[in-house]
Amino acid sequence: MAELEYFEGLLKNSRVNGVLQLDTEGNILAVSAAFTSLFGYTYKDVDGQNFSIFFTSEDKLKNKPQIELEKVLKDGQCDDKNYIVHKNGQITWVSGESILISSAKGEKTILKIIQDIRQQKEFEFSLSRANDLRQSILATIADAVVVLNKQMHIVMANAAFYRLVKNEHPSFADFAAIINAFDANGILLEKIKHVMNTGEAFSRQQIEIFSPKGEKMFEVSCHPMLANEIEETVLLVAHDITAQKRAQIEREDIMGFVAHELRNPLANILLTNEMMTMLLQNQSAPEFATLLQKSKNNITRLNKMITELYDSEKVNAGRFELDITTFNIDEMLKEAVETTQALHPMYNIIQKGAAGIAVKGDRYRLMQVVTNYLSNGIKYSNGEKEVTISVSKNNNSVIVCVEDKGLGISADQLPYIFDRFFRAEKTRNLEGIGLGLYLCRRIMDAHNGRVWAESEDGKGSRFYLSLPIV
Amino acid sequence: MTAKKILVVNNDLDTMSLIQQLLETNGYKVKYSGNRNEVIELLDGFKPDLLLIDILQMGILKKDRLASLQQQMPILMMTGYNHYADAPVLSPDAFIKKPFTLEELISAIEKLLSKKS
Repeated sequence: MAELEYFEGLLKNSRVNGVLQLDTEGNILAVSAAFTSLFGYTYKDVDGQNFSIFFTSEDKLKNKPQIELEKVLKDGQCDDKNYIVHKNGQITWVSGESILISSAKGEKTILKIIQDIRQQKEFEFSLSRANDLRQSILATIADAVVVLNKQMHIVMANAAFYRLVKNEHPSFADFAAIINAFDANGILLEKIKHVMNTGEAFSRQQIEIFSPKGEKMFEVSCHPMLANEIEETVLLVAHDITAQKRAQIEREDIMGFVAHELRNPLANILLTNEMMTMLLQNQSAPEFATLLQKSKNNITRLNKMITELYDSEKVNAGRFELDITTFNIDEMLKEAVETTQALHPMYNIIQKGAAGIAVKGDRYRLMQVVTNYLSNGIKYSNGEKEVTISVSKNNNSVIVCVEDKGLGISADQLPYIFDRFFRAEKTRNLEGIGLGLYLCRRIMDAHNGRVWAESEDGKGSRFYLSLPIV
Repeated sequence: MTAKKILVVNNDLDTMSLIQQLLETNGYKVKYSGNRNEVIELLDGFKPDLLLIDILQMGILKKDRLASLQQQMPILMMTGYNHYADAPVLSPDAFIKKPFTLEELISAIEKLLSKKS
């Protein structure tokens, strides 16, 4: 066996794989250091014993050790995956390869290399579990999910998608052909192609699709995805928001109706107020004049609430169309200042700077944002009589800033002031229902512009809007 | 200078009588009605210089009649809608949003009357 001693190095130095040296009967001649560290057995433990001791009793009953030995003697090699019994009795999944080695003198020995693949096995198991989980999630969710390749063929689609298109097409069906009936103007297809070509994802875009059950509104997201190394695909998720949309539109209609109806008695109250004011004109009754003014202020306040509520419903229902014109921004700002100033003669609105350009946008809506900023500045002025509005421009946009020296906003509330129905704690007793700034944000969003604010508690605020120059 | 004549058309009696009192105190001659036949009679008999009508009462007048009326006199529309775009109308001369003050009403009326003359 002199030549076989060459294997000593292999037995001593292998670290990753366990090595066993057997004779042709399957008796153990040597074990490697790695085998000991992997499975616990030292050479002393197994010296001269048959390698079948490493097999589970079940495998022994199936005669696996004998079969393996016969195969390696016959073919010179044998490999398989098996359980191995660890010295401490634990069972481990391994992959083994046995090789028959003959010396020049005809001496034969078997080298068995064993790899612990428990981790790999666990990984495979968790992968298959994850896969099962993914499959069941995809099958269960109501959103339609489709994976498309460059040729616009369906690589994968879930049940919700097929339900939507009433189609039982097999994989790799032509997506364009399926969706054509529902996407008459090809809007969706164009958008997906754009994602394919540029790699730019889009998310939560509202798209109308005509399903067999009628018109439906979806919120669609599309992301590029690398399905495997060769194929680029896109993932398309469509979330049905038809019911939500319908409810929103219904609510908006109701609000529109309610707003309209509320204004009739409100108009009469205001006219009655005017009548009384007029009748009192020539009489010295200062208390009545004050009371009437108070009641008038409250009519205005009520009307403002009605307008805000109605506007925000409209915005949320997505029925918020801009009437785009080109106009001089400085003139619009001047008008906004004059309007607000007229309503608040006790305050001083200072207009600084000029953009000196015409901009494109919905003048009425943009003026609404500016007057909202200005009246907020006054409303939260905390006794300070000055509000400043300034305008500047850079290469891409016009920036308007309204600054007051009033209450200010605390840092923890600042991020939420443009949210719907948000009202800073200390403004709760002041007029408004928390929709004004929300509307400002939505109006600027619709113009691809931006709103933001800077403030320091107790030291006033700066409200900004930026409008892209187009 | 003769007093300008205003015809108010609305279905709310309170609104109409209040507007009448307020405008008459300010030197206008005002008649009102919410009844279709009466309105037509008043248009011919009273011969108003301006028609102040609620948007929802526009149906009282047939579309062709309205179009010819627009040639004859300014029409000021009262609306409880938020935005003019929401109001279902022909091309309007002017709108006044409810609720409005007397000052706003007179200013809207005068604007239209001066445009005409």
